Amino acid sequence: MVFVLVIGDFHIPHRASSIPKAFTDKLVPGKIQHILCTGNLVTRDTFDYLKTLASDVHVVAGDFDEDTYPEEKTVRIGDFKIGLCHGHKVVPWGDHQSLSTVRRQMNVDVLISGHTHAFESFEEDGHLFLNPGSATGAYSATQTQVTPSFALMDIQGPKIKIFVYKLVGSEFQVEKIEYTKGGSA
Amino acid sequence: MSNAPVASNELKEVEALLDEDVIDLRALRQFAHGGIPDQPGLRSKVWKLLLGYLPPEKARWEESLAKQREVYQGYLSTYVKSSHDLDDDEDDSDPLGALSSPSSSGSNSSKWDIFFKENEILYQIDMDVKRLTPELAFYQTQTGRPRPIPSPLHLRVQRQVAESATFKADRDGVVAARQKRASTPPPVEPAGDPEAECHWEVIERILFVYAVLNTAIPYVQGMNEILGPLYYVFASDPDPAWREWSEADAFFCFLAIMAHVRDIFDRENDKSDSGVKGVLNRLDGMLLAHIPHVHMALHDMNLDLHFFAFRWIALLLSQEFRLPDVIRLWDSLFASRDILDRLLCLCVAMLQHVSGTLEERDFATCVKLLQNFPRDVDVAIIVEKSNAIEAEVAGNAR
Repeated sequence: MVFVLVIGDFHIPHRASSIPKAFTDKLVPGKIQHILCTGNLVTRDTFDYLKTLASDVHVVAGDFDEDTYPEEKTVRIGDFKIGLCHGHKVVPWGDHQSLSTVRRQMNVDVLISGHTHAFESFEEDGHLFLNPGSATGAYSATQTQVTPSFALMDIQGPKIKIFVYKLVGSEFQVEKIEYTKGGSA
Repeated sequence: MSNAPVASNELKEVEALLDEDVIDLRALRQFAHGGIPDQPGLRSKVWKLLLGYLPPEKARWEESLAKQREVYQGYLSTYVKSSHDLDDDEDDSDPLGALSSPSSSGSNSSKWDIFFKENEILYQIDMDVKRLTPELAFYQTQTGRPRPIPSPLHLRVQRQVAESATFKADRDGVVAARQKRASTPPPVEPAGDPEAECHWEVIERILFVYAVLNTAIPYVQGMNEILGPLYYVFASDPDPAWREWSEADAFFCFLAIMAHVRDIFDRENDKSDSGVKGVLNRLDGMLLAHIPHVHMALHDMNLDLHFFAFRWIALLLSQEFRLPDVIRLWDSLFASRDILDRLLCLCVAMLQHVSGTLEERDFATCVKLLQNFPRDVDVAIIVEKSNAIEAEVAGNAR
C-alpha cells in the first residue's frame, strides 16, 4: 500500500556522472510516497532530484556528503519503525553482527544501511536488514565492479514486499523479497 | 417541514401506502413530493422505492436486495485491492515497470499501470471525501462495523511526511534526539474499535467503485456531495438490518441518481443538449417563459446562469441549503419521474423567490445572493412555487 524507495550512494559527481538512464526512466513521480536515502549523494542536485520523485525524503549523512544530514534517523511508516544510517562508521563495514548492534541501539524493526555498494538483505533475530547498494554503481573502497541497484519497499500491515532493481551490464533485473514482521514463520 | 411534529394522519397515509403488498408507486410519488415525515427509517425506505432500487412488489424485496448486495460485494472484492493483493500470481511485472518506458503502448498495460492510474482518481476522491461537509460530525464518526477489506483504501494515496526522529548515539547510548511529527497528524480516532472504519471511508469506497466501473466519466468533484446526504440517510436508519447494508444500497441508489444527471458531469458532452450548456439553455428558456422579468433583469446585468446555476443543478442543490432542507428537497426530486425536470423547476422557483432583489439589478449583490442563496428560506415555499411552474410546463407541452 505504501511505496518506499530505498536508494543511496550516488557519489555524483565524484565517482559517477549521473544515475543510469534505465533507472531514471523507471523513477517517475506519483508512485512513490516516501524516500529513504542512505547518503553520499554527494551534491545538492541529487537531493533535489529525489525531491521531484516524492515530497517526503529522508537522508542520512554519508562520509562524502556536502550538505549536513543527521548521522542516524528513524522513520515510522505504517507498522514499522525503520532505522536509517549510512554505515561507514559501522565496522567491519557491512558486518552482520555490527549492524545488528546498531539496530538494537536504534531500537528499530528494519535497519537500512549503505556504504558497501553491494545490495544485501538478510534477517537476523527476526528483523530485516536492507542495503540498497549504489544507485550509480560507483566504485567503492573494497570493489571496483559494482552493480547499480536500488530497492522499492511496498509496506502493508505487518508485511513488506521488496522489489530489488539491478542493472547487470545493460540488462535490467527485478527481484522480489518478502518479509513479515517478527521474521518469517 | 424540518422539526415540526409530524401530522399523524400523514404518517398513517404513507404507512398505509407501504403496507400494500404491491406498492402504488404513483401514489407514493405524489405523497413524497409533499415531503416525507421525519419518522425514523421511513425516508430511507421510501427513497429506495422512488429510485427504483426496491421493486414495488414487497414479496420480491428480499430476493432483489440479496442479489444486488451480492453484486456489490463482488465489485468490492474485484476492484478494491491493495498492492499486496495484486502481486499474488506469478508475474514478473513490477511497480515501476512499463508505464514510463516508451516501448510499452496501451495494449500491454500491466496491472501495475492500472493500479497507479486508479490511484490518480483515488487521490482526488480522497481529498474530497475528507472535507465533505466539515460542519457535520457524522462522516468523521465510526460506522461500528469492521472494514470489509483489511487495508483502508486511503493508504494507497496517503502523501504525508512520515514521523521521524534523528539522534546521535555514542557507545553509552542515545545522546541527542529530535522528534519530528508527521506532517498531517492522523485524524483523531473517535473512541471505539480501532478496526471499525469511519463513514467517510465508506463514501470513498463507493465513489472509487463507481469510478472504476464508469471509465467514461470516472469521478468528478461534486459527486461526493450527491452521495453524502444519500448515504447519511441510509446509514442513519434505525433498523440495523438496513444500516448494515447501507453501503451497497447507497451505491445502487447513487447509480440511479447519476443516470439522470451524469451528462452534466461529462466534459466531452458539455455542448450537447444533455450536457451543461444544454441544461443551462433549458433553464434559460424556462426563465423566459415563466418569469420574464427575472430573465430580463439577469440579462441586463450580464449575469450568466453558469455563475450559479451550474452548481445548483450539478449538485442537486445540496450546497445551497442546510442538510435537513436538502433532504426535504430531495424527497420532491426523487418523487419525480425525471429528476432533472423537477430540479429545473425548483431552480426557477428559487429565482422567483428572490426576484425582488434581482430586479434591483445590482450585479454584485445579485451574484452574492445567488451564489450564497439565503439558507433561512422555507423550502416548502420553494417546492410550492415549483409546483405551479411544473403545472405550467405541463400545460405548455400539451
